[in-house]
Amino acid sequence: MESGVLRGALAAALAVSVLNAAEVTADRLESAENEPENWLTYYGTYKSWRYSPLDQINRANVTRLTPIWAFESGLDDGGMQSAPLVVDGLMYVSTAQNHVFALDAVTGEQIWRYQHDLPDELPTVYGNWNRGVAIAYGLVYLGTLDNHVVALDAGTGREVWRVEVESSKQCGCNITSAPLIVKDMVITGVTGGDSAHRGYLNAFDARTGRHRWRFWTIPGPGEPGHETWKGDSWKYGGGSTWITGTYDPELDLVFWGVGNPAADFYGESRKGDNLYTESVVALDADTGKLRWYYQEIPYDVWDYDSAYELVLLDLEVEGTQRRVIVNPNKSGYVWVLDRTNGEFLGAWPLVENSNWIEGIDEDGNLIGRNEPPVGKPTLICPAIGGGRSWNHGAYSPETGWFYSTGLEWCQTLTVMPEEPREGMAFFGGEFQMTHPDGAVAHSHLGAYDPLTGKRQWQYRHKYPLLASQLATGGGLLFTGDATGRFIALDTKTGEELWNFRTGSGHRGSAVTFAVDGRQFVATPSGWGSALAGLTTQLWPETADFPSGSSIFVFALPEEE
Amino acid sequence: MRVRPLGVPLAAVVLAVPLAVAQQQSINLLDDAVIENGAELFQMNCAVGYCHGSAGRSARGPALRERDWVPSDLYRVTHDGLPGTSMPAWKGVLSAEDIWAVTAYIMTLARNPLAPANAFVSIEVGAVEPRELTGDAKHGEELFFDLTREKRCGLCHRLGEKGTAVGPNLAVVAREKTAEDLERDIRQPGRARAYGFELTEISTRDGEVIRGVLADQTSEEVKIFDTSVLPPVLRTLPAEGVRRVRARDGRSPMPEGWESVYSDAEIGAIVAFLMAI
Repeated sequence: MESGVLRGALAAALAVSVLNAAEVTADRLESAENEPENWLTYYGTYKSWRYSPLDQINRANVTRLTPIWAFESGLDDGGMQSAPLVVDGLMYVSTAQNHVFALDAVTGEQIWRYQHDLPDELPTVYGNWNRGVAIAYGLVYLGTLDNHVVALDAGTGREVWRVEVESSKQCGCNITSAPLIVKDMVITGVTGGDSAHRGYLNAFDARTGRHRWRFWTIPGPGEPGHETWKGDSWKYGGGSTWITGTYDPELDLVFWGVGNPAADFYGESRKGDNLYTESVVALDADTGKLRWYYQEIPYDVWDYDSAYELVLLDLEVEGTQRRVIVNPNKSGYVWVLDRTNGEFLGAWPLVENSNWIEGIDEDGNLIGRNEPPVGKPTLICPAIGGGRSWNHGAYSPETGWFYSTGLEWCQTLTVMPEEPREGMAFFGGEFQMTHPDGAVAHSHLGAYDPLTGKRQWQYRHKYPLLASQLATGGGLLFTGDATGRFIALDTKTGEELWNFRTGSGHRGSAVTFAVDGRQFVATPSGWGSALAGLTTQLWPETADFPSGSSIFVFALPEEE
Repeated sequence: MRVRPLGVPLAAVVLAVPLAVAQQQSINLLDDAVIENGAELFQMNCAVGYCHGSAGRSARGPALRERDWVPSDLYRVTHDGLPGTSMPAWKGVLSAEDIWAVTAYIMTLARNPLAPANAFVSIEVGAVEPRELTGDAKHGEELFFDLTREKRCGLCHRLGEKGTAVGPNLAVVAREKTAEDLERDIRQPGRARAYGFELTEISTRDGEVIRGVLADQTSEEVKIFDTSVLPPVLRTLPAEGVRRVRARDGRSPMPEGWESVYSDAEIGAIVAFLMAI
């Protein structure tokens, strides 16, 4: 009894101190770059650079980088695709199956664990993984596999509110991406782009969970853009918002990338531009109303996506300073847009093996579209896995370069007519992964001029590189590979300076932080996911690559 | 049509509560038409995107080709799913006949081809006649669960396999109501009675008032569905933070404004649906 009371008192004291430490406000999020000791948002800051100015670990000493602690969740089905958040010495990390852990960021000790109560049956097309949480106002936010948004007490892990966005059983959709905090709201996207489903983006009151606004990615009857859909195809046209977007506080705009139209490959029944699929949309933060959009791929029939990260840069374009968005698209092209108005500024390729179009003209038009005919197996590059996966690139202000992976692989695609079935898979075809003509499939990580795409260096790899990049002020670029190596490259040369085997392949997003003046680098480790599965068609040995679900944290030895 | 030879064991297939009209139907897993149907179903449902891959070559799910399979195992796993994994149950989505067709197709990919003597299975058909809704009632059902609308009845009412159970089961409610009652309740929820789901108001110690459906109350915490804005939010409040819980006698917590969500004709169709179930 006494010890119980004592434990209760200790827990309460701990909870209070943790709660105070974790009180992240909108102001802190908007100026997250002023506290490099923390990693406050999914991408680090609203600029989505995945960059930290921390430089204690640098080119000169990275060879002495040492593991400090490892955390194993045990939830290895689906791999470890998350990006940890770090706030004032505490780490918050989500795993597959919607578990969330709060850990002491210095020791790895578990503070609390939350396990979302999932139904027996979940949507089938989208996996059981999770890519991250958001934190603000003493709450940790999670989007779930049964399409709920849940707010947890950051101090205790106890549920404070939950809202079902839409019945996952009916829509066949779920939430796997990290929520985005904007002012006093939490904004969440949704999967469902490969199912018969109408996509959307939702904003909720961060404190109460009350719905604030919904933006439909497919306009309904009477709305501008509705005419770009044939018949009833708008009801089942996909347009998912499956990767976290971002926010520009100065423009007060929420930016989000929208995924492919459904059916993915069979387009006859949705003939038209299919707005706002394959578009970057800019929404008024308070109302969710569309302020501008730019469609990168009208009438997509290859299952590419504009859903990836939106990197906010201020660049000189033909002598004028412009506020731009750099948006790598799953097609293997990177689009550059003016983020004040959506004007097209350029597009450049990340990959060499690309035959879905011949190119993009100076006005942004796609030239020489290679639309696969119904019923005839057709070689299409890049494959459904993309010229790049969703895992995010990084930008370093020291070099002025954007770092991204590129995937050189193809598929034999056979388009098949298909009728929509609500909430069910809606691909309209099937594919078999293949090597490019006269080449062996592989991947690379490169440094690029973000405006022109001029390549500065390239690091080649046998297997698909499927982890995010992390750039630091120490001149280092961190990423991981399928074999479990966590790697540090020189941001200027691409030279590999250090690596450590974490025991399972890398599919998540590494972060860096500091506690009491000591810099740490944390990486998720855990092979798995849809693309990890697809790699087995080209590299059969990857079927034996072990899964995992851990976090490894590194620092320099203490005496330094 | 197809006859099951004597002596071949039946696969145990129970579709639902069998009625007297249930009949046995035999399926030949080596029949070309069955395999063709299975191949098409496999492409649409199993190969898809990231699951088992084209012709079972593997993706996120395991490779299905060039392995040793037992047809009844394939049927069972497809029908029931594998709980705790990403493999869903296909019962309710695909018919027993279709699941056997998919099984027949996978057996063509297997390392151990099916012997003709083991190729016959039997299913029960005609056991259940699902009630077919027609006309207005069918349209009303679509409107009730219409995912292309931000607001819809299914956000708070569950019927069969669809919707979310925050409010009462309307199949039960509708039994005691006339069409006029139901229409009035939709148009003027404030006048409706909702015993068992009455409007509850929670006042917290920091001055917040939450209105909705009480979900749970223990000595440690109070749970309430906040229905003031849809979709409803399940709030969990520590008991020490709750100042007062007050149930409003029989009043409905259903939000107003359905006449701006559904047209007059659509409300009529929803009422027809509720009267038909």
